[in-house]
Amino acid sequence: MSSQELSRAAVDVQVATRAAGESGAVYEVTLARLYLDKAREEWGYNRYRTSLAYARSARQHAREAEERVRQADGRRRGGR
Amino acid sequence: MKARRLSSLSLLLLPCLAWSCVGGMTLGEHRRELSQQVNHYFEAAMRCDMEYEQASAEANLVFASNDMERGRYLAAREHMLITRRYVDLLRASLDGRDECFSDRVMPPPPPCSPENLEVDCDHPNCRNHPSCGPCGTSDTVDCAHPLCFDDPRCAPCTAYSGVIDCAHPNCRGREECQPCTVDNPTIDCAHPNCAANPACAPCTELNPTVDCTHPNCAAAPGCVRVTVERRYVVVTETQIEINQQINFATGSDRIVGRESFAVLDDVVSVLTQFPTMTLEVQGHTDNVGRQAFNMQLSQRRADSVRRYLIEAGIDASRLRARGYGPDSPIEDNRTEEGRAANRRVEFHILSR
Repeated sequence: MSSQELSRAAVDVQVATRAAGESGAVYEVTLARLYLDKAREEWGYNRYRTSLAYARSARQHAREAEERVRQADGRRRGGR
Repeated sequence: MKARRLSSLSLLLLPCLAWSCVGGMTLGEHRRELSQQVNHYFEAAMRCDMEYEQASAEANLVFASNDMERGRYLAAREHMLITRRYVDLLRASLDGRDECFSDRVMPPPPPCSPENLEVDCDHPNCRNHPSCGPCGTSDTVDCAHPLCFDDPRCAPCTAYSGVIDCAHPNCRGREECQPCTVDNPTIDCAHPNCAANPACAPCTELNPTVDCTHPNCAAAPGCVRVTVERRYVVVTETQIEINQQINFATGSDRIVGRESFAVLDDVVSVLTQFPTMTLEVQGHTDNVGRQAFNMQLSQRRADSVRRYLIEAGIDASRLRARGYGPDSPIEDNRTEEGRAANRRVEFHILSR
C-alpha cells in the first residue's frame, strides 16, 4: 500500500475541519481526526493493512462531517 | 540472574494483561462495560455539547477492540484507560442534567422565567411582570401609569390614550390633525381647511399665485399700475387729445421741435398703458394751396407720426394713418389763428 490513502484522508479531514468551523459537526470531525492519527501511527509501525482501514474510516467520518454541516446550513437558510 | 528473573516475571504477567488487570476485570469485560456506557451517553452528549468527549471515547474504544483482536493487549489497555477517562468526563458533565436525556419527561419551565419568556398573567411567577400590571391583558389600561408608557395601546390616537399627537402615525387621517386646525397648525394651502388662512392668501410665500384684485398683490410685477404724469395729452372717450400741436417743417412731413416729440412720447405712454388700444392718426391742413397737395401732405404727415410711434415700440397693427387735407377744419380758415389751428394732427381711438 502506498501512502496515498493516508494523504487523501488527511486532505478530507482538513476540508471537513474547515467546513465545520469551530462549532459544527464536532463529533464527526473529532472521529475523523482521531482515526487519521491512528492511521498514521499504524503506518509508523509498518502495519499497513490496519493503517489503510483507519484511513478509510477517517475519510468516511470526514464525509459525514461535511454532510452534517451542509444539512445544518440548509436548515438555517430555510429558517430565514 | 536478575534479567532471567525479570523475564520470568513478564511471562507471568502476560496472561494477566490478556485476561484482566483493569480494576480486577478482564479486558473483554472492561470493554463491554465501557461500550455500554459510551452508548448510554451518546444521545445526551450530542444534545449537550459533549460531542468531542463522546467521539474520543468511541474512537479509543474501537482502537482498543482492534488492538485486542490483534493480541496487542498493552495498547488495548491504554486505549481503554483513555476511554474510561472520557466516560468519566461524560458522566460528570451529563448525569443530573435531565434536559440532555430525551427519555426523561421534563416539566415545562414556568412562564416568566429565564427559560420561558412567555407571559401568563394568571401564573404567580408573572405577578410583577410589566405586562401584567396596569397595562396587563385586561381591557382597562391605565395609560397614566408609568408602566404603560410604552404600551402600544397607550399610543396617541388610540381608544385608550385619548391623546392626540398629530406627529404620530396613528393620528394620520384624524380630523383634528388636518392642516390649519388647532391640533395641527401646519399650513397646507392645497387643503380646503387652509383656504381662509392669511398665510395662503395670494402673493404670499406659501401661495405665490398672483391675483391683482387682492391687496397683497399690489406690488406684484404684473399688478403694478403705472401712473404717468402726462403733460401734453388727455385721454377722452374718443380721442387722445393733445394740448400742444405737433410741428412739421414747412411743406414737409419732417417733425420738428422738442415739444412735438414730447407730445408724441406722451401718446406712446398712453398706448403702452392701454395695450389693446388702437388709434387712427389723422393729418389735417388749412385750405391754403392746392387741394391735392394738401391731401398728400396731410397723409405724409400722418404717416410720419405713425412711423415715430412704431419706432417707439408700438405695434404697427394698432395704428392707422390717414390724411384728410383741408376737409375737416375746426376753425375759420380766413384768419391766421384759424388756419394755424386747422393744421393739426389728431389721435382718434378706434378701440380700447
